[in-house]
Amino acid sequence: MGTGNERGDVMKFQIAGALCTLMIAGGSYAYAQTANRQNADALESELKNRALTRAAVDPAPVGEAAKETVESAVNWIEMRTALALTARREVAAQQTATRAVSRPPGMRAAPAETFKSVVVREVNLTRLPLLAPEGPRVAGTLKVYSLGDSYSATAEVEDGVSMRMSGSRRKIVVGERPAALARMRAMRAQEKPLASLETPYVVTRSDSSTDLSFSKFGAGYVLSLMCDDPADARCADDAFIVGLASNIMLLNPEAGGQ
Amino acid sequence: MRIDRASERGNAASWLLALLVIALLIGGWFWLQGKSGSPSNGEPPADDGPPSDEQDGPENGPADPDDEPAEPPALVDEDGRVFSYLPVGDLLPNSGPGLADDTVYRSDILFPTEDAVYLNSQVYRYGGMNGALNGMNGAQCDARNYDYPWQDTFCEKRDRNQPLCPGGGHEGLDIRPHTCAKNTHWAVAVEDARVIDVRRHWVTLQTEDGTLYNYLHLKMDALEVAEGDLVAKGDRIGMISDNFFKSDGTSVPTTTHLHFEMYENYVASPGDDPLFTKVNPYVTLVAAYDRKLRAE
Ligand SMILES: [Zn+2]
Repeated sequence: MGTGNERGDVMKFQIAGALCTLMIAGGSYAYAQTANRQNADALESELKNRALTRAAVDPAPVGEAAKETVESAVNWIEMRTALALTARREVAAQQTATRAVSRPPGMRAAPAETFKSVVVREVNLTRLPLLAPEGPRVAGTLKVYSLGDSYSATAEVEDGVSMRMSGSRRKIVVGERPAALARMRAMRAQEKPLASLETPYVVTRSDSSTDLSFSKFGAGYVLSLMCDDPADARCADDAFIVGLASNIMLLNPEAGGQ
Repeated sequence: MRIDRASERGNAASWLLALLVIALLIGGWFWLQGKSGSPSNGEPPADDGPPSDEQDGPENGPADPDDEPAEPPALVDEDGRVFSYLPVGDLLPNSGPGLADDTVYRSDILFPTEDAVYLNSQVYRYGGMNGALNGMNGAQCDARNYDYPWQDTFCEKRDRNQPLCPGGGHEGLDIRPHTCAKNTHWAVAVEDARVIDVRRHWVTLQTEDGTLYNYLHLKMDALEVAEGDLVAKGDRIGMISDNFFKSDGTSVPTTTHLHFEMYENYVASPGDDPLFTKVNPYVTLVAAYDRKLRAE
């Protein structure tokens, strides 16, 4: 058992120790903050030194302008063939299925009049095959906005997931420049076959959406999914978006004449 | 025994004193180091008036007579600040690979804001989640966030790999408004277009050419447009804010900025099958800002 004095000494030691620790920690923190500020300041001034400016008079052009916008010829015959192909696949599946009738991937006609929130005039204005994914919630919430040579269809897919499907028959020609070609090649290298439309697709994702892009019938399409949480498996994995793109509705099956 | 105890106490007191002196010296040294050479941590910039031009970046002032021939005058913004920008794909250290694409996809668009703005990272600078990676500790309203040069944030690092941004993930550009004041500065339509989606925290426009423009984080309950509207180039869409909602209306915190995205349906040669994806709008926006500052 220690005396009162001994306990006092121990306490003094403990207090002094705590004070030392606090002062060293405080000093280290201040030092670390300073080091951070100095790093940041050095970085900021390096960025400023590296930055480019624009001449007020007779400026050089910025970047490389895209060359032109061209209009694709839509392959309406291919569109009708794709509809017929899905019908044949369904017949074949019904003949071979033993218990449950399996539904093969494909594109099916779903006339605009069958959707309560779709304005038929918007669909009739559209000069390319107007595609949108199937789904019970999609059917009830689908809206279409047309600009003639391009369109977008939007809908709720499930709780926490909405979608936008856009198509365009106009293409921007960026030219055969190495950076653009390298990027396109890198994306093409990731392509996989989309069974429903017999065309390659590529999926990209960011914080704001997961996108599945493909071209078909001469037009370009992109299906985008917006999840509340980008880490949601429906956006983070390919399966959900590929599943949606595997059963595609064609809202203007009569377009393009005979 | 008592003598031993007394000497022990004496020793303890000396140790105590020595420790305190050492701590004082170390703490004092760190403190002095901490004081010297540390600029004040920038606070929100004043909402009006051009800031003093004390940066050591490119300037427009008279050249030293002993120097090489004078640089031609540089383009300045409405505040008289020299507009400067880092090259496309030149991101902050530790913030991802970027995507160096110098294509001006749309040569005649209007810049998407009414006022002068600052393109830079919301995540890897002052006030951002990863600001500390570059020593940029501070608040989003730090004056250094509201300054040139612009910096590209396309393919800034997020948590997933993807074909367009290997090791990256931010497929848009982040634009800080003229000041840190939210719900004050306007975002405008860059082209004649149709409003094809207004949902959660975004407004999406589409043009006849198929181009899609996404405007994120505007003040969604005070938009100037509605779904289905036709908008003309320059029409106000909404005020730049920090709106970020889940579909049930839950709010997610973010900084005050316009996240701007652009999708193109593009090919290398006219006969190719197109790719319809997001593209890096950085150089397109540099060109549009250049025209804006020249009032073209
Ligand atoms: Zn962003």
